[in-house]
Amino acid sequence: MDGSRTQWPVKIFAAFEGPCNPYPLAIFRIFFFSGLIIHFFPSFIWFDDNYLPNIMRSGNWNMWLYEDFLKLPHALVIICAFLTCAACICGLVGLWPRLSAMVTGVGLYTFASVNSLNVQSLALLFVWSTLWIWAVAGGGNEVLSLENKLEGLSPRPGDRMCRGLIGWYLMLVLFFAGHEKLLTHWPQSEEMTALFKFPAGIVVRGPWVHLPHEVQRFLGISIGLATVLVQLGVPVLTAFRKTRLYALIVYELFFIGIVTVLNVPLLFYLVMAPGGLLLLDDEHFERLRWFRLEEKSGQAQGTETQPEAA
Amino acid sequence: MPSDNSAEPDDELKTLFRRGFVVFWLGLSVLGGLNQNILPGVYERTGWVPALFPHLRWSYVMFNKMPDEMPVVDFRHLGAGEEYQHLGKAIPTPAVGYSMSRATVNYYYYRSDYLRHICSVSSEMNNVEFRIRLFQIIDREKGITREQARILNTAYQECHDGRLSDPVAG
Repeated sequence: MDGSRTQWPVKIFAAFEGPCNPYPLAIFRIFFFSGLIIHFFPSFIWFDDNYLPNIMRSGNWNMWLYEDFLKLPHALVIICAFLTCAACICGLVGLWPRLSAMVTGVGLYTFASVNSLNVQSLALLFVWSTLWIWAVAGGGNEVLSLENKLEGLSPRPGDRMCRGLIGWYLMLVLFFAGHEKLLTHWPQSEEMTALFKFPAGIVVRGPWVHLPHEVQRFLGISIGLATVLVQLGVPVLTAFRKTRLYALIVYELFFIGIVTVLNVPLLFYLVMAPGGLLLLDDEHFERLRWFRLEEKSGQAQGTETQPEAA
Repeated sequence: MPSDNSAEPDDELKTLFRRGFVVFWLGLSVLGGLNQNILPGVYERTGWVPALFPHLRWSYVMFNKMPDEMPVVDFRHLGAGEEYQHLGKAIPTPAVGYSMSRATVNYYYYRSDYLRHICSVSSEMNNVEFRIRLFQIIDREKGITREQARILNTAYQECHDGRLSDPVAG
Protein backbone atom coordinates (compact mmCIF):
# COMPACT_ATOMS: atom_id res chain seq x y z
CA MET A 1 0.00 0.00 0.00
CA ASP A 2 2.77 2.46 0.99
CA GLY A 3 4.73 1.52 -2.10
CA SER A 4 1.86 2.27 -4.44
CA ARG A 5 1.15 5.49 -2.55
CA THR A 6 4.66 6.77 -3.22
CA GLN A 7 4.69 5.49 -6.79
CA TRP A 8 1.61 7.16 -8.29
CA PRO A 9 2.91 10.73 -8.16
CA VAL A 10 6.13 9.52 -9.75
CA LYS A 11 4.14 7.98 -12.61
CA ILE A 12 1.93 11.01 -13.07
CA PHE A 13 4.83 13.46 -13.11
CA ALA A 14 7.31 11.27 -14.99
CA ALA A 15 6.92 13.40 -18.12
CA PHE A 16 8.26 16.37 -16.15
CA GLU A 17 10.90 14.80 -13.87
CA GLY A 18 14.22 13.07 -14.14
CA PRO A 19 17.15 13.17 -16.55
CA CYS A 20 16.66 12.97 -20.29
CA ASN A 21 18.44 13.32 -23.60
CA PRO A 22 19.36 17.02 -23.86
CA TYR A 23 19.29 17.30 -27.67
CA PRO A 24 15.54 17.84 -28.24
CA LEU A 25 15.41 20.91 -26.00
CA ALA A 26 18.71 22.27 -27.36
CA ILE A 27 17.49 21.91 -30.97
CA PHE A 28 14.15 23.45 -30.04
CA ARG A 29 16.05 26.31 -28.36
CA ILE A 30 17.96 27.08 -31.57
CA PHE A 31 14.81 27.08 -33.74
CA PHE A 32 12.78 29.02 -31.17
CA PHE A 33 15.25 31.86 -30.66
CA SER A 34 16.02 31.98 -34.42
CA GLY A 35 12.29 32.51 -34.96
CA LEU A 36 12.23 35.35 -32.43
CA ILE A 37 15.25 37.00 -34.03
CA ILE A 38 13.82 36.80 -37.57
CA HIS A 39 10.45 38.08 -36.38
CA PHE A 40 11.41 40.86 -33.97
CA PHE A 41 14.82 42.15 -35.02
CA PRO A 42 13.57 44.12 -38.07
CA SER A 43 11.42 46.21 -35.73
CA PHE A 44 14.52 46.95 -33.62
CA ILE A 45 16.72 47.69 -36.65
CA TRP A 46 14.08 50.11 -38.03
CA PHE A 47 13.72 51.44 -34.49
CA ASP A 48 12.49 54.95 -35.34
CA ASP A 49 9.64 53.58 -37.46
CA ASN A 50 8.40 51.44 -34.59
CA TYR A 51 9.28 52.78 -31.16
CA LEU A 52 9.01 56.56 -31.23
CA PRO A 53 6.06 58.21 -29.45
CA ASN A 54 4.97 60.27 -32.48
CA ILE A 55 4.54 57.43 -34.99
CA MET A 56 1.47 55.26 -35.55
CA ARG A 57 1.37 52.46 -33.00
CA SER A 58 -0.91 49.55 -32.28
CA GLY A 59 -1.55 48.30 -28.74
CA ASN A 60 -2.62 44.70 -28.54
CA TRP A 61 -1.00 43.57 -25.32
CA ASN A 62 -0.38 45.58 -22.15
CA MET A 63 -2.07 48.99 -22.36
CA TRP A 64 -0.11 50.44 -19.44
CA LEU A 65 3.15 49.73 -21.27
CA TYR A 66 1.60 51.02 -24.50
CA GLU A 67 0.77 54.36 -22.93
CA ASP A 68 3.67 54.90 -20.54
CA PHE A 69 6.79 53.02 -21.63
CA LEU A 70 7.85 55.58 -24.22
CA LYS A 71 7.69 58.31 -21.57
CA LEU A 72 11.00 56.92 -20.30
CA PRO A 73 14.15 58.68 -21.55
CA HIS A 74 14.87 57.64 -25.13
CA ALA A 75 18.35 56.37 -24.22
CA LEU A 76 16.81 54.03 -21.65
CA VAL A 77 14.36 52.67 -24.21
CA ILE A 78 17.27 51.98 -26.58
CA ILE A 79 19.21 50.23 -23.78
CA CYS A 80 16.16 48.03 -23.10
CA ALA A 81 16.03 47.14 -26.81
CA PHE A 82 19.74 46.26 -26.81
CA LEU A 83 19.32 44.08 -23.71
CA THR A 84 16.38 42.30 -25.31
CA CYS A 85 18.32 41.62 -28.53
CA ALA A 86 21.35 40.45 -26.52
CA ALA A 87 19.14 38.07 -24.52
CA CYS A 88 17.69 36.61 -27.74
CA ILE A 89 21.17 35.98 -29.10
CA CYS A 90 22.29 34.45 -25.78
CA GLY A 91 19.27 32.14 -25.94
CA LEU A 92 20.15 31.14 -29.49
CA VAL A 93 23.73 30.21 -28.64
CA GLY A 94 22.82 28.64 -25.31
CA LEU A 95 24.30 31.13 -22.88
CA TRP A 96 22.44 31.27 -19.53
CA PRO A 97 19.12 30.08 -21.03
CA ARG A 98 17.04 30.75 -17.92
CA LEU A 99 18.19 34.36 -17.64
CA SER A 100 17.99 34.77 -21.43
CA ALA A 101 14.40 33.55 -21.45
CA MET A 102 13.50 35.89 -18.60
CA VAL A 103 14.99 39.00 -20.22
CA THR A 104 13.74 38.02 -23.69
CA GLY A 105 10.23 37.46 -22.35
CA VAL A 106 10.02 40.74 -20.45
CA GLY A 107 11.72 42.68 -23.26
CA LEU A 108 9.75 41.35 -26.21
CA TYR A 109 6.45 41.56 -24.32
CA THR A 110 7.24 45.18 -23.45
CA PHE A 111 8.09 46.16 -27.03
CA ALA A 112 5.16 44.20 -28.48
CA SER A 113 2.94 46.10 -26.03
CA VAL A 114 4.46 49.43 -27.07
CA ASN A 115 3.82 48.73 -30.75
CA SER A 116 2.60 45.49 -32.24
CA LEU A 117 1.93 46.90 -35.70
CA ASN A 118 4.77 44.97 -37.32
CA VAL A 119 5.11 42.04 -34.93
CA GLN A 120 1.58 40.95 -34.06
CA SER A 121 0.96 37.23 -34.58
CA LEU A 122 -1.06 34.57 -32.79
CA ALA A 123 2.19 32.61 -32.45
CA LEU A 124 3.17 35.17 -29.80
CA LEU A 125 0.80 33.47 -27.37
CA PHE A 126 2.96 30.36 -27.51
CA VAL A 127 6.12 32.49 -27.35
CA TRP A 128 5.07 34.18 -24.08
CA SER A 129 4.15 30.85 -22.56
CA THR A 130 7.39 29.13 -23.59
CA LEU A 131 9.56 31.95 -22.27
CA TRP A 132 7.61 31.91 -18.99
CA ILE A 133 8.19 28.16 -18.61
CA TRP A 134 11.87 28.47 -19.57
CA ALA A 135 12.43 31.26 -17.05
CA VAL A 136 11.11 29.01 -14.28
CA ALA A 137 12.45 25.61 -15.35
CA GLY A 138 15.74 26.56 -17.06
CA GLY A 139 17.86 24.10 -19.01
CA GLY A 140 18.49 23.65 -22.71
CA ASN A 141 22.21 24.45 -22.66
CA GLU A 142 23.56 20.99 -21.83
CA VAL A 143 24.59 20.44 -25.46
CA LEU A 144 24.99 22.62 -28.56
CA SER A 145 25.77 25.62 -26.40
CA LEU A 146 28.44 28.29 -26.27
CA GLU A 147 28.40 28.04 -22.48
CA ASN A 148 29.85 24.53 -22.70
CA LYS A 149 32.65 25.78 -24.93
CA LEU A 150 33.45 28.79 -22.75
CA GLU A 151 33.41 26.90 -19.47
CA GLY A 152 34.92 23.69 -20.83
CA LEU A 153 31.87 21.65 -19.82
CA SER A 154 31.13 18.33 -21.48
CA PRO A 155 27.67 17.43 -22.76
CA ARG A 156 25.41 16.22 -19.94
CA PRO A 157 21.86 14.92 -19.53
CA GLY A 158 19.07 17.46 -19.45
CA ASP A 159 16.21 17.87 -17.02
CA ARG A 160 12.79 16.83 -18.21
CA MET A 161 10.74 19.63 -16.65
CA CYS A 162 11.26 22.39 -19.22
CA ARG A 163 11.05 19.96 -22.12
CA GLY A 164 7.90 18.26 -20.80
CA LEU A 165 6.06 21.45 -19.87
CA ILE A 166 6.69 23.21 -23.18
CA GLY A 167 5.80 20.05 -25.11
CA TRP A 168 2.58 19.34 -23.25
CA TYR A 169 1.54 22.99 -23.24
CA LEU A 170 1.94 22.88 -27.02
CA MET A 171 -0.36 19.86 -27.16
CA LEU A 172 -2.95 21.75 -25.10
CA VAL A 173 -2.74 24.65 -27.56
CA LEU A 174 -3.27 22.25 -30.44
CA PHE A 175 -6.18 20.48 -28.77
CA PHE A 176 -8.02 23.67 -27.87
CA ALA A 177 -7.46 25.08 -31.36
CA GLY A 178 -9.27 21.97 -32.68
CA HIS A 179 -11.96 22.22 -30.00
CA GLU A 180 -12.55 25.84 -31.01
CA LYS A 181 -13.03 24.82 -34.63
CA LEU A 182 -15.57 22.17 -33.69
CA LEU A 183 -17.60 24.76 -31.79
CA THR A 184 -17.71 26.99 -34.86
CA HIS A 185 -18.85 24.06 -37.08
CA TRP A 186 -15.58 24.28 -38.95
CA PRO A 187 -15.56 21.19 -41.14
CA GLN A 188 -19.01 21.97 -42.59
CA SER A 189 -18.43 25.70 -43.02
CA GLU A 190 -15.73 25.18 -45.69
CA GLU A 191 -13.54 27.97 -44.30
CA MET A 192 -10.49 26.37 -45.88
CA THR A 193 -12.09 26.43 -49.33
CA ALA A 194 -12.75 30.13 -48.77
CA LEU A 195 -9.02 30.59 -48.18
CA PHE A 196 -8.30 29.56 -51.77
CA LYS A 197 -10.59 32.31 -53.05
CA PHE A 198 -8.40 35.10 -51.68
CA PRO A 199 -6.28 37.04 -54.19
CA ALA A 200 -2.91 35.33 -54.71
CA GLY A 201 -0.22 35.77 -52.08
CA ILE A 202 -2.40 37.50 -49.49
CA VAL A 203 -3.23 34.55 -47.28
CA VAL A 204 -2.60 31.54 -49.51
CA ARG A 205 0.57 31.16 -51.58
CA GLY A 206 0.17 31.97 -55.27
CA PRO A 207 -0.02 28.57 -56.97
CA TRP A 208 -2.92 27.34 -54.82
CA VAL A 209 -5.15 30.23 -55.88
CA HIS A 210 -4.81 29.30 -59.56
CA LEU A 211 -6.01 25.71 -59.15
CA PRO A 212 -9.38 24.71 -60.70
CA HIS A 213 -12.41 25.23 -58.48
CA GLU A 214 -13.08 21.48 -58.09
CA VAL A 215 -9.52 20.89 -56.88
CA GLN A 216 -9.75 23.84 -54.51
CA ARG A 217 -13.03 22.50 -53.13
CA PHE A 218 -11.61 19.00 -52.66
CA LEU A 219 -8.46 20.36 -51.02
CA GLY A 220 -10.43 22.80 -48.88
CA ILE A 221 -12.76 20.14 -47.49
CA SER A 222 -9.89 17.65 -47.00
CA ILE A 223 -7.61 20.15 -45.30
CA GLY A 224 -10.46 21.43 -43.12
CA LEU A 225 -11.36 17.94 -41.93
CA ALA A 226 -7.73 16.88 -41.54
CA THR A 227 -6.97 20.00 -39.49
CA VAL A 228 -9.70 19.23 -36.98
CA LEU A 229 -8.67 15.56 -36.78
CA VAL A 230 -4.98 16.40 -36.35
CA GLN A 231 -5.61 19.09 -33.77
CA LEU A 232 -7.89 16.91 -31.67
CA GLY A 233 -6.16 13.58 -32.33
CA VAL A 234 -2.45 14.27 -32.09
CA PRO A 235 -2.46 15.45 -28.45
CA VAL A 236 -4.41 12.33 -27.41
CA LEU A 237 -2.28 9.90 -29.43
CA THR A 238 0.93 11.53 -28.19
CA ALA A 239 -0.05 10.57 -24.65
CA PHE A 240 0.37 6.87 -25.49
CA ARG A 241 3.78 5.42 -26.11
CA LYS A 242 2.68 3.06 -28.88
CA THR A 243 1.21 5.83 -31.03
CA ARG A 244 3.46 8.73 -29.97
CA LEU A 245 5.99 8.52 -32.79
CA TYR A 246 3.31 8.30 -35.51
CA ALA A 247 1.31 11.13 -33.95
CA LEU A 248 4.37 13.36 -33.91
CA ILE A 249 5.21 12.53 -37.54
CA VAL A 250 1.65 13.62 -38.45
CA TYR A 251 2.19 16.74 -36.35
CA GLU A 252 5.33 17.66 -38.30
CA LEU A 253 3.61 17.02 -41.65
CA PHE A 254 0.72 19.20 -40.50
CA PHE A 255 3.02 22.19 -39.96
CA ILE A 256 4.88 21.59 -43.21
CA GLY A 257 1.44 21.60 -44.89
CA ILE A 258 0.51 24.89 -43.21
CA VAL A 259 3.63 26.76 -44.37
CA THR A 260 3.35 25.25 -47.85
CA VAL A 261 -0.20 26.53 -48.29
CA LEU A 262 -0.38 29.65 -46.15
CA ASN A 263 1.61 32.86 -46.16
CA VAL A 264 2.29 32.91 -42.40
CA PRO A 265 5.22 34.41 -40.46
CA LEU A 266 8.28 32.17 -40.22
CA LEU A 267 7.99 32.59 -36.46
CA PHE A 268 4.89 30.41 -36.52
CA TYR A 269 6.75 27.46 -38.03
CA LEU A 270 9.99 27.93 -36.11
CA VAL A 271 8.37 27.95 -32.68
CA MET A 272 5.58 25.41 -33.21
CA ALA A 273 7.01 22.67 -35.43
CA PRO A 274 10.21 21.88 -33.46
CA GLY A 275 8.03 21.59 -30.35
CA GLY A 276 7.10 18.09 -31.51
CA LEU A 277 10.68 16.97 -30.87
CA LEU A 278 10.24 17.71 -27.17
CA LEU A 279 7.73 14.89 -26.79
CA LEU A 280 9.62 12.19 -28.66
CA ASP A 281 10.89 9.35 -26.51
CA ASP A 282 14.65 9.44 -26.00
CA GLU A 283 14.97 6.02 -27.62
CA HIS A 284 13.39 7.32 -30.84
CA PHE A 285 15.70 10.25 -30.85
CA GLU A 286 18.81 8.24 -30.14
CA ARG A 287 18.35 6.00 -33.15
CA LEU A 288 20.15 8.83 -34.88
CA ARG A 289 23.82 8.53 -33.89
CA TRP A 290 24.37 12.31 -33.63
CA PHE A 291 22.04 12.56 -30.69
CA ARG A 292 23.54 9.86 -28.46
CA LEU A 293 25.03 11.48 -25.44
CA GLU A 294 27.29 8.64 -24.26
CA GLU A 295 29.29 8.57 -27.49
CA LYS A 296 30.15 12.22 -27.17
CA SER A 297 30.83 12.59 -23.47
CA GLY A 298 31.38 9.09 -22.15
CA GLN A 299 28.92 9.93 -19.39
CA ALA A 300 26.02 7.81 -18.32
CA GLN A 301 22.71 9.34 -19.13
CA GLY A 302 19.09 8.79 -18.22
CA THR A 303 17.34 7.20 -21.16
CA GLU A 304 14.01 6.75 -19.53
CA THR A 305 11.15 6.86 -21.95
CA GLN A 306 8.20 9.05 -21.37
CA PRO A 307 5.28 7.72 -19.42
CA GLU A 308 2.28 6.05 -20.95
CA ALA A 309 0.18 9.12 -20.32
CA ALA A 310 1.17 12.45 -18.90
CA MET B 1 13.72 13.04 -9.40
CA PRO B 2 11.52 10.49 -7.70
CA SER B 3 10.91 11.17 -4.05
CA ASP B 4 11.62 8.37 -1.61
CA ASN B 5 11.96 8.07 2.14
CA SER B 6 15.70 8.80 2.08
CA ALA B 7 15.31 12.05 0.16
CA GLU B 8 16.66 15.19 1.77
CA PRO B 9 14.01 17.69 2.97
CA ASP B 10 15.37 20.23 0.47
CA ASP B 11 14.89 17.77 -2.38
CA GLU B 12 11.35 17.03 -1.25
CA LEU B 13 10.55 20.73 -1.15
CA LYS B 14 12.03 21.19 -4.58
CA THR B 15 10.03 18.27 -5.95
CA LEU B 16 6.88 19.66 -4.34
CA PHE B 17 7.49 23.06 -5.90
CA ARG B 18 8.15 21.58 -9.32
CA ARG B 19 5.04 19.43 -9.23
CA GLY B 20 3.00 22.37 -7.96
CA PHE B 21 4.19 24.48 -10.88
CA VAL B 22 3.35 21.75 -13.41
CA VAL B 23 -0.19 21.39 -12.03
CA PHE B 24 -0.66 25.15 -11.80
CA TRP B 25 0.61 25.81 -15.32
CA LEU B 26 -1.33 23.09 -17.11
CA GLY B 27 -4.48 23.81 -15.06
CA LEU B 28 -4.29 27.50 -15.91
CA SER B 29 -3.73 26.65 -19.56
CA VAL B 30 -6.87 24.51 -19.65
CA LEU B 31 -8.87 27.35 -18.09
CA GLY B 32 -7.37 29.69 -20.68
CA GLY B 33 -8.46 27.32 -23.43
CA LEU B 34 -12.03 27.38 -22.17
CA ASN B 35 -12.07 31.14 -21.76
CA GLN B 36 -13.34 31.96 -25.26
CA ASN B 37 -16.35 29.71 -25.27
CA ILE B 38 -17.31 27.62 -22.27
CA LEU B 39 -16.25 30.17 -19.66
CA PRO B 40 -16.37 33.40 -21.67
CA GLY B 41 -14.91 36.51 -20.09
CA VAL B 42 -13.43 34.82 -17.01
CA TYR B 43 -9.93 35.82 -18.04
CA GLU B 44 -10.77 39.47 -18.65
CA ARG B 45 -12.57 39.81 -15.31
CA THR B 46 -9.46 38.89 -13.34
CA GLY B 47 -7.36 42.03 -13.63
CA TRP B 48 -3.99 40.59 -12.61
CA VAL B 49 -4.13 37.49 -14.82
CA PRO B 50 -3.80 39.25 -18.21
CA ALA B 51 -0.74 41.15 -17.01
CA LEU B 52 0.99 38.07 -15.64
CA PHE B 53 -0.11 35.44 -18.15
CA PRO B 54 -0.50 37.13 -21.55
CA HIS B 55 -0.40 33.79 -23.33
CA LEU B 56 -4.01 33.15 -22.28
CA ARG B 57 -5.30 36.34 -23.83
CA TRP B 58 -7.02 35.03 -26.98
CA SER B 59 -7.43 31.43 -26.01
CA TYR B 60 -5.92 29.28 -28.80
CA VAL B 61 -7.95 30.37 -31.78
CA MET B 62 -6.35 29.98 -35.22
CA PHE B 63 -8.15 30.61 -38.53
CA ASN B 64 -11.66 30.19 -37.18
CA LYS B 65 -13.63 32.26 -39.64
CA MET B 66 -12.50 34.02 -42.79
CA PRO B 67 -13.65 37.59 -43.49
CA ASP B 68 -16.25 37.89 -46.24
CA GLU B 69 -14.57 40.93 -47.77
CA MET B 70 -10.92 41.90 -47.92
CA PRO B 71 -9.36 45.17 -49.10
CA VAL B 72 -6.14 44.76 -51.10
CA VAL B 73 -3.84 47.74 -51.60
CA ASP B 74 -1.23 48.21 -54.28
CA PHE B 75 0.73 51.29 -55.33
CA ARG B 76 2.69 52.90 -58.14
CA HIS B 77 4.91 55.95 -58.45
CA LEU B 78 3.08 58.67 -60.34
CA GLY B 79 4.48 59.71 -63.70
CA ALA B 80 6.93 56.82 -63.90
CA GLY B 81 4.72 54.59 -66.05
CA GLU B 82 4.94 51.81 -63.47
CA GLU B 83 2.71 48.81 -63.01
CA TYR B 84 0.93 48.57 -59.66
CA GLN B 85 2.88 46.66 -57.02
CA HIS B 86 1.46 45.15 -53.85
CA LEU B 87 1.70 47.29 -50.71
CA GLY B 88 3.83 44.52 -49.17
CA LYS B 89 6.74 45.81 -51.22
CA ALA B 90 6.46 49.24 -49.63
CA ILE B 91 6.25 48.48 -45.93
CA PRO B 92 9.11 50.20 -44.12
CA THR B 93 9.80 47.44 -41.57
CA PRO B 94 10.52 44.15 -43.38
CA ALA B 95 8.29 41.17 -42.65
CA VAL B 96 10.53 38.29 -43.71
CA GLY B 97 8.66 35.93 -46.04
CA TYR B 98 5.14 37.27 -45.48
CA SER B 99 5.20 40.99 -46.32
CA MET B 100 2.01 40.83 -48.42
CA SER B 101 0.07 39.25 -45.55
CA ARG B 102 1.48 41.75 -43.05
CA ALA B 103 0.58 44.75 -45.22
CA THR B 104 -2.91 43.40 -46.00
CA VAL B 105 -3.75 42.56 -42.41
CA ASN B 106 -2.46 45.90 -41.15
CA TYR B 107 -4.51 47.74 -43.77
CA TYR B 108 -7.57 45.60 -42.92
CA TYR B 109 -7.41 46.77 -39.30
CA TYR B 110 -6.10 50.34 -39.59
CA ARG B 111 -7.19 51.47 -43.09
CA SER B 112 -6.07 55.02 -44.00
CA ASP B 113 -4.10 55.41 -40.77
CA TYR B 114 -1.77 52.66 -41.97
CA LEU B 115 -1.28 54.24 -45.38
CA ARG B 116 -0.65 57.58 -43.66
CA HIS B 117 1.99 55.87 -41.51
CA ILE B 118 3.74 54.35 -44.54
CA CYS B 119 3.51 57.64 -46.36
CA SER B 120 5.07 59.56 -43.46
CA VAL B 121 7.94 57.21 -42.52
CA SER B 122 9.10 56.01 -45.95
CA SER B 123 11.01 58.49 -48.09
CA GLU B 124 10.55 56.22 -51.12
CA MET B 125 6.80 56.69 -50.99
CA ASN B 126 6.75 60.21 -52.37
CA ASN B 127 4.45 60.95 -55.33
CA VAL B 128 2.76 57.60 -54.99
CA GLU B 129 -0.75 56.52 -55.83
CA PHE B 130 -2.40 53.83 -53.71
CA ARG B 131 -5.13 51.72 -55.31
CA ILE B 132 -7.50 50.10 -52.82
CA ARG B 133 -9.63 47.31 -54.21
CA LEU B 134 -12.30 45.73 -52.02
CA PHE B 135 -12.64 42.03 -52.87
CA GLN B 136 -15.65 39.93 -52.00
CA ILE B 137 -14.23 36.59 -50.92
CA ILE B 138 -17.46 34.83 -50.00
CA ASP B 139 -21.05 35.69 -50.74
CA ARG B 140 -22.66 34.10 -47.68
CA GLU B 141 -26.05 33.88 -49.43
CA LYS B 142 -24.67 31.98 -52.40
CA GLY B 143 -22.00 30.08 -50.51
CA ILE B 144 -18.63 29.36 -52.06
CA THR B 145 -18.88 29.67 -55.81
CA ARG B 146 -16.61 28.72 -58.70
CA GLU B 147 -15.25 32.22 -59.09
CA GLN B 148 -12.27 33.69 -57.35
CA ALA B 149 -12.82 36.83 -55.29
CA ARG B 150 -14.47 39.66 -57.26
CA ILE B 151 -13.85 43.37 -56.94
CA LEU B 152 -16.72 45.25 -55.27
CA ASN B 153 -15.22 48.73 -55.55
CA THR B 154 -11.95 50.59 -56.06
CA ALA B 155 -10.63 53.78 -54.48
CA TYR B 156 -7.41 55.78 -54.86
CA GLN B 157 -5.31 57.83 -52.46
CA GLU B 158 -2.12 59.73 -53.14
CA CYS B 159 0.96 60.40 -51.05
CA HIS B 160 2.95 63.61 -51.62
CA ASP B 161 5.71 64.87 -49.29
CA GLY B 162 4.61 62.66 -46.42
CA ARG B 163 0.94 63.67 -46.65
CA LEU B 164 -1.90 61.36 -47.66
CA SER B 165 -4.87 62.62 -49.68
CA ASP B 166 -8.48 61.65 -49.03
CA PRO B 167 -9.77 58.59 -50.90
CA VAL B 168 -11.32 59.10 -54.33
CA ALA B 169 -13.68 56.46 -55.71
CA GLY B 170 -12.52 54.91 -58.96
